Amino acid sequence: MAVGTISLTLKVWRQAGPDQPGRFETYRAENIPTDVSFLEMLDIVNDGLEREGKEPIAFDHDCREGICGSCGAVVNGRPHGPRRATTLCQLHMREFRDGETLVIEPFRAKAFPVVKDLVVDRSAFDRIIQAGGYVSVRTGQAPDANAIPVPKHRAERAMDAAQCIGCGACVAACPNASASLFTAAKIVQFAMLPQGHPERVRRVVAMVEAMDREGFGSCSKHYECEAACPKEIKVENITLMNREYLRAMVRED
Amino acid sequence: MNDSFSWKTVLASTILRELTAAISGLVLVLFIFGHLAGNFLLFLGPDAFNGYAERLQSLGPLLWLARLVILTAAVLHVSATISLKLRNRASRDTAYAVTRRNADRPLGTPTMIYTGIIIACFVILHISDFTLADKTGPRSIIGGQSLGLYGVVLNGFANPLRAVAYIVAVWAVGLHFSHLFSSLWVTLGVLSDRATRAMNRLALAVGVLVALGFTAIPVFALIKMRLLGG
Ligand code: SF4
Ligand code: FES
Repeated sequence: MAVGTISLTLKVWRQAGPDQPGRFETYRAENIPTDVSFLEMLDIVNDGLEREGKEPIAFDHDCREGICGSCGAVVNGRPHGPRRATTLCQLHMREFRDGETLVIEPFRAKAFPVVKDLVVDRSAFDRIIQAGGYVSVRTGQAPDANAIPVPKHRAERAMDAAQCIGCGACVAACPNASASLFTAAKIVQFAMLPQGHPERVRRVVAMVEAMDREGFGSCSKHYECEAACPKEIKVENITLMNREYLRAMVRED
Repeated sequence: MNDSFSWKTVLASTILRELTAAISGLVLVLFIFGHLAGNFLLFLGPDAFNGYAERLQSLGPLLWLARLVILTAAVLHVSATISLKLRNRASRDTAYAVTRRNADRPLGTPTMIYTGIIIACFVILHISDFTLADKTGPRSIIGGQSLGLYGVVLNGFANPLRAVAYIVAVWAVGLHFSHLFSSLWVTLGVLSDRATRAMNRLALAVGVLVALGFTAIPVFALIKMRLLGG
């Protein structure tokens, strides 16, 4: 496919700092090659802003290959933009039409305060992980590989859940700003495996408690998280988290 | 990780509140279905319907037990859902400039709070209309003769305004129920992904069915009283 260029109008949320008021600023993104990524498009716009002596648009990014979970913004009402199962860094500008206007906002949640422009503080996720997103391992010699048998369907569920990159798009998409999909994925990846068993009961209770403490909403089953998730984490994980929670209520550790 | 399992933590959790909302909703729905089934006796005429109403009344303490269960479920349902709703509103303090729904959801889910409020108002109206009505008073008289609760119901719906208000309310019930039907399986943690999605696809149809069932009663009364003259 021949590489074309498109020009866009951007309405970008600008906010100097956490306690500063924010507002939308309008910018032109002229002659953007359609084979660059969304973040590269922002780089081009930022080059222009810097040449004019203006403050560039702040946004989070790291790997730029869809695996680290750093990037993310809401583009025209969709976290990570219009293409399903794609992070913002992996989104190409050919997804957009010439002349389009894009409204670009940070992920919005009380538990994700804005740091600057499109950068939000997602350390609430780290605290949920700290509450129980780990397994106990024996010290000493490395165990034999494949010494612990795991049924295939359980391994698959665990691996699917482990795809979560912690980007926060599920929270951004949820009308309740719920972190249920993220928390569920992090619980299920361990609950499915024998290695995660010693803490199984305490983990689900502690991680859900941490999730609630951070001020995220509850799950009303809107399924918006699943539609936004770049790793296609399914709502099924929330079903399994709830099952784990009920199990914790009736079982001793 | 906290070492001891704490019921205090569990009882305060959003998951338990969602569960409370779902299970109390389920209890209310089961009651509503029983109620609807009983009310279908209206189609069989005054004797069948009044006989059923009297049998219910004669249950005495059992009836009060049932009422207590229903009342408890209603209180739990309203308090759990309102507290969740308030929390969920507070969890996003700055609104998006552009909001859009990207998931394919049954209509019931985003409208829960509105249909819920309609239902709450309706229940009050409904109890004062029928449960507390004087079953032998002037409102029970059709064609110069008291027809008991049957007469009260038919006379009540002879007023098209009331009939329309009821129809709106029962469609709210249908829509509200469709959300329960689609979301329950996730909350209870019971069904597989495939089965849950099948329930999601069925939800709206099931809600419409429930609404149609309830619509039949005021429509029946309206036709009988207005077109057939009682
Ligand atoms: S569940 Fe999906 S959307 Fe949510 S944090 Fe993980 S990868 Fe991101
Ligand atoms: S920058 Fe790493 S996932 Fe986008």
